Amino acid sequence: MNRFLFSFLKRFIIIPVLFTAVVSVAMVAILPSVINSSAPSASEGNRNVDISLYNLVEYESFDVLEQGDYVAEVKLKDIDMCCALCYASADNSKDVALIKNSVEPWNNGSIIIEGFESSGPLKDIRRAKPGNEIEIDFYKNKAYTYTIKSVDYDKTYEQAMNQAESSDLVLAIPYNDFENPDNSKLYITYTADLGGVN
Amino acid sequence: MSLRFKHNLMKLLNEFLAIVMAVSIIMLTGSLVFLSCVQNDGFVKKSLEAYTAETIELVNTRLEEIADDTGFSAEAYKNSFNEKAVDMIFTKVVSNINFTYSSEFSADSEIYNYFKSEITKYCYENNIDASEQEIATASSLAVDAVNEVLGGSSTADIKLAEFLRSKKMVYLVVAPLILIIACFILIDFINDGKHRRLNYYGMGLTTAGMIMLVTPLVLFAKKYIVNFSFCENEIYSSAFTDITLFALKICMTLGIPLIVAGFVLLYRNYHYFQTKKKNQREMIQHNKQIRNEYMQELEQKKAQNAPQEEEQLVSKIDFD
Repeated sequence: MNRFLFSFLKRFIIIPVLFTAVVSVAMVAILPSVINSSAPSASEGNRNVDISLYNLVEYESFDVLEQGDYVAEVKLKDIDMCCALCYASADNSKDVALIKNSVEPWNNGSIIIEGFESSGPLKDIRRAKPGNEIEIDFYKNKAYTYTIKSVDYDKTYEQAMNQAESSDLVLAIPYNDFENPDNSKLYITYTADLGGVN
Repeated sequence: MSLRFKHNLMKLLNEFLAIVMAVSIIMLTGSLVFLSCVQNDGFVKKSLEAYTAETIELVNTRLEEIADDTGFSAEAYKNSFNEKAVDMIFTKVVSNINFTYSSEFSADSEIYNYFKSEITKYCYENNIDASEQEIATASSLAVDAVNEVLGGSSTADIKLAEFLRSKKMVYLVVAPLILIIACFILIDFINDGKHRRLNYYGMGLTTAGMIMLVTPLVLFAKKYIVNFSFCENEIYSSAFTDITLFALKICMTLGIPLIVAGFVLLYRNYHYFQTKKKNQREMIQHNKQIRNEYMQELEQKKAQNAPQEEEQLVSKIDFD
C-alpha cells in the first residue's frame, strides 16, 4: 500500500472510527448509571419513609409533640403508597399532617389527618376507595390498621373535623373552593374504622 | 532533537488539534440543535400536543372515578375536558417549563371557569338537572383532577430544559466556537503548504461527522433515550423524549455533510499527492529517457567516428 493511500485511510477511516468507538464505549459505560439515577425518586420515597430525616420524639401522648415532629408511617397498600405523618404540619409534599385535636388510638381516640392540595408524590391518595386498608405505624408504638368505610366530597374544614366523632380515622384532602371569595378549601374526606392492632 | 522526531511530534500535535476541533464541532452543533429545539416554545408545545389524546384519557379516567364517587354526570365531565382545555393547559405548562416553575393548577381560576362553563353548557343542552352548587363542586374537583394528573414539580424538574436555558449554555456555544477558530489558526500556523493543512481539517470534519452519525445510533439501539425519565410526569417526559430523539436525528443528519466535506478534502489531497508523485515519476522517467536517448546518440556518434579516426591514425604512422 502506498503511503498516500495509507495516510488517506488513516485520516478518513482509522482515526475517526477509533475515536467514535471510544466515545460510544464511554457512553455505553456511563449512560446506564445516569438513566438509573434519572428514575423518579419521588416514587421510591413513596414506598419507604426515611425516618432519620425527621425530628424523632418518643411519645405516649400526642400532647408532648411539637409542630413538625415525626408521628407515624402511613401505608395504603392497595394503592402502593407510603408517607410520613408529622405533627400539626407537613413540611414537604411527601408528608401528611396530624391535626392537633387527634387522640391516640391506644386511648380509644380518633385520628385526623390532613393531606395537601397540590399534586405530588402523594396524589394517588385520592384514589383510595371504601374497603381499602390504611396502616398507621406509630413511632415507638404499635401499628394500627384502619378500613375505609366512606369517601365524601365537598366538606368544609369543620364538617371534616366533625366526622371524627363517628369514625376512628378521618383523612381529609383539600381542594380549592373557587366560589368562595376568600379562596378557602373544601375537603374530600376518607373516614375509616379501626380494623386491628399489630 | 532529531528531524524525524520533530516531524512525528508535529504530526501528533496536528492530529490532536484536529480531534479537539472535532469535539468542539460536535459540542457546538449539538448545543445549537438542542437549543433551537428546546428553546422553541412552539416546538415544545407541538411535542406535548402529540400526547393530547393520552392526556384527555388520563384526566377523563380520573374524572370518571370522581363521577362514580360523587354521582355527578360522567358524560358532563368527559365532555368538558377536551382538546381546547388541553391546549390551554399545555400553554401554561410550556411557560412553566420555560421558567422552570412547578405547575400548580389547584387554584387556577381560568381552568375552573372553563370547566364551569363547559359543564353548565353540557347540563343545559342535555337537560341534566344540576344546581349551581353541584356544578361549582364538580368544576372544583375537575380542577383538582387536572392538577393531580398534570400538575406538580415535573415542569421544574426537567434538567435538560433547565440546563439549556441556563447561562452555562453561553459558554457551551462560545467555548467550542473559540476552540474551533483556535485549532484552525494553529493548524494553519504549524503546517507549511495548503494540502497538509487540509489533511487535518478533513480529519477533524470526518471525526466530528462520524461521531455525530454513529453515537446517536448507539443511543437508539440501546434505547437509552426511550428509557430515560426526564421528569416524573409521563406525558412531559415522553414529549421531551420525542424532542431529544428529534434533535439527535438532526445531529445525525448534520453528521453526513461533515463526513462528505471531510472526505472531499482528504480525497482531493490524496489525489493531489498521488498526481504529484505520478508527475514526479513521469518527470524522472522523461529525464531518464532523454538521458538514454542522448547517451545512445553519443554512442552512435562515437561508433560512426571510430573507423575514420582509425584511418587517420594509421595514415599518420610512419612504417618506415
